[in-house]
Amino acid sequence: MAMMRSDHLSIDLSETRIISDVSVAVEAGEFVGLVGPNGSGKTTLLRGLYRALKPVGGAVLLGQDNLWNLSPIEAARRIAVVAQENQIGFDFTASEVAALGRLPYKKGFERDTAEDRQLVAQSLNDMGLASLAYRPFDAMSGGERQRTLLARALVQQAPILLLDEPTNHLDIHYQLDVLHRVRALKLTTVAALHDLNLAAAWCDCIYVLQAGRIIASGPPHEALTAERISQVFRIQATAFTHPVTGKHQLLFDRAEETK
Amino acid sequence: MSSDAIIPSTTAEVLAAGTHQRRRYVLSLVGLFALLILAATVGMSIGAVSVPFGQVWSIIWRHISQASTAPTDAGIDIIIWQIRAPRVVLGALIGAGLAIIGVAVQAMVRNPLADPYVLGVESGAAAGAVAVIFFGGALGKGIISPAIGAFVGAILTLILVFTLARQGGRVSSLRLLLVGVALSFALSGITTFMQYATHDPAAQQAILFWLIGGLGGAQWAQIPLLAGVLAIAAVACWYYARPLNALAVGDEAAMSFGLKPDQLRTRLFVILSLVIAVAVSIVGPIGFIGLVVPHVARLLVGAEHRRVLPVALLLGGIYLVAVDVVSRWIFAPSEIPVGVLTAILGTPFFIWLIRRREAMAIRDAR
Repeated sequence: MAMMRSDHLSIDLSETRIISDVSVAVEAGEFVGLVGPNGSGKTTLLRGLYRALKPVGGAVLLGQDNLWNLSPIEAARRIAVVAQENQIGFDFTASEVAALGRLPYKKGFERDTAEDRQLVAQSLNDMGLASLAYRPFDAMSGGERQRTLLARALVQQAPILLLDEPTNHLDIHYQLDVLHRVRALKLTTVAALHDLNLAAAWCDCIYVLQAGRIIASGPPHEALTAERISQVFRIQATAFTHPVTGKHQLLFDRAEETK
Repeated sequence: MSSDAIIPSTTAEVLAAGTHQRRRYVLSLVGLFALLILAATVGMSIGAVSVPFGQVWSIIWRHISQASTAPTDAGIDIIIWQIRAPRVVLGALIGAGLAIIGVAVQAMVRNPLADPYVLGVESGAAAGAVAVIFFGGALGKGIISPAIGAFVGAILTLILVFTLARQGGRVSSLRLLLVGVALSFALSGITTFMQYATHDPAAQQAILFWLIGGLGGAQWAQIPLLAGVLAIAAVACWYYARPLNALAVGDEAAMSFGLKPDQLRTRLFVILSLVIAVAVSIVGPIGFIGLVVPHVARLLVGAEHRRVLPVALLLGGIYLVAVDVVSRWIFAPSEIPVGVLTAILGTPFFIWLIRRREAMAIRDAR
């Protein structure tokens, strides 16, 4: 039984079909990547997986439970999200941002317990942020912010993690650092990724989206073949095996007819 | 501030720094509470007749404990208990209420320039009150008071804003704000029109109060209702303090924590706007506090609403009571409406605070 799957999911935005008939399955502990050109529906699909967007057709299933039959709180206890949050304003500190992860567990007047504080401090420390715990989020570097949001996801203690472009705006060191940290959490993860080589190197399974439909899926070397990438992204791709890591990777050039 | 704290490097040190921070926060609450008591004492002591602090509190105590002893000076007793005490309490309640509602509204709409009047409730109140004054003769004088007119105006505005902002069964906060701002301008125009059309100087004087707001004529009879509705606002804000953190961070994040942002915002807007409707029908549209005190509170204790709300509550109370002292003293024995002074006195301080903090941030970053 897949940990999370979408079953013939269709999503409309302003009465335009953005996601049509998409079925993905994510096994427990698996790292799944969603790749595709701009506007192919990666972010929309991701938002459809956590109750941010209600589907017009199909369903999202967590184990045997339909996502939309769960209460929002119950869904939040099962799925943590790191969306693209670059500026949050109001001078929240890293530790305050991380503490937001306790929200699905707290009633209105309930106070923070020693366990809550321990969990927040531990999660920040696990992400290498102890020294920045009381720094304003908006004053942090992109990599530090992304790690703060991962700490928040840890605090949320959900078995499923959804990531929207987690490596966006990061230098190569932090791109690899963030993906390494995500993998080390061993959570069931679905990530929308722009960078095909990062996806190929870090994902167990990749779904390729084009115009709101899944056109290929499977392990990186099967999903990201040179022919398919050349066609989907209208470029000339060359596949090779990384000489050190042994991972499937790609090189790119402009396609002949557009030169 | 960050400069005097040790930089933590382990989980235990992060926790220790948190404990240190909480201790400082509790101390600042105690300090602010002491300031509020001081401001209230000064507020009751100063006036046409100066009364020593000790005598002020002995008179207050005599009334609170309902002692049967006769007052030592009946005149001063009336001045303190019937005139100044209700005025100070009214000021503290209004200031506190505007400040916490300002905190909540800024978080709800994620806009630091928002204030409690963002839905146009105060323009509706002013229009209602001024209409009663303007058409007073036609309606038969004294049948309904401008205060009732203000309340009716505020509520009608609120209903109108929500009705117009509703589309397909959903109230989006952006539409709510746009409709609120637009209606607010329209209502202000109507109010100004009536102000120009009036030639009776007494009516113009009365209209002025509904454009600026003031604490003059405070009575104990006004307090219970106001205290009641403000208590509702305070409890609602406190209950939703954590969700307010999430709304301030963004709707996308809020949804991922299991909140329904639009529904939550609508619910809070209805509760808080009703409270504002009551407040403006008693003291008029006192400005500045609901906009700026939230920022001062955040500068002091950060963004977390469980700390910002209590600090803003105390700061708002202190500030309005203190400014009211100045408004009574500056042209004594006559007074100017406190709404005139809130911004004049507060703006220089606020700008100094922002500049000082930015200077510190630059220094910390080096």
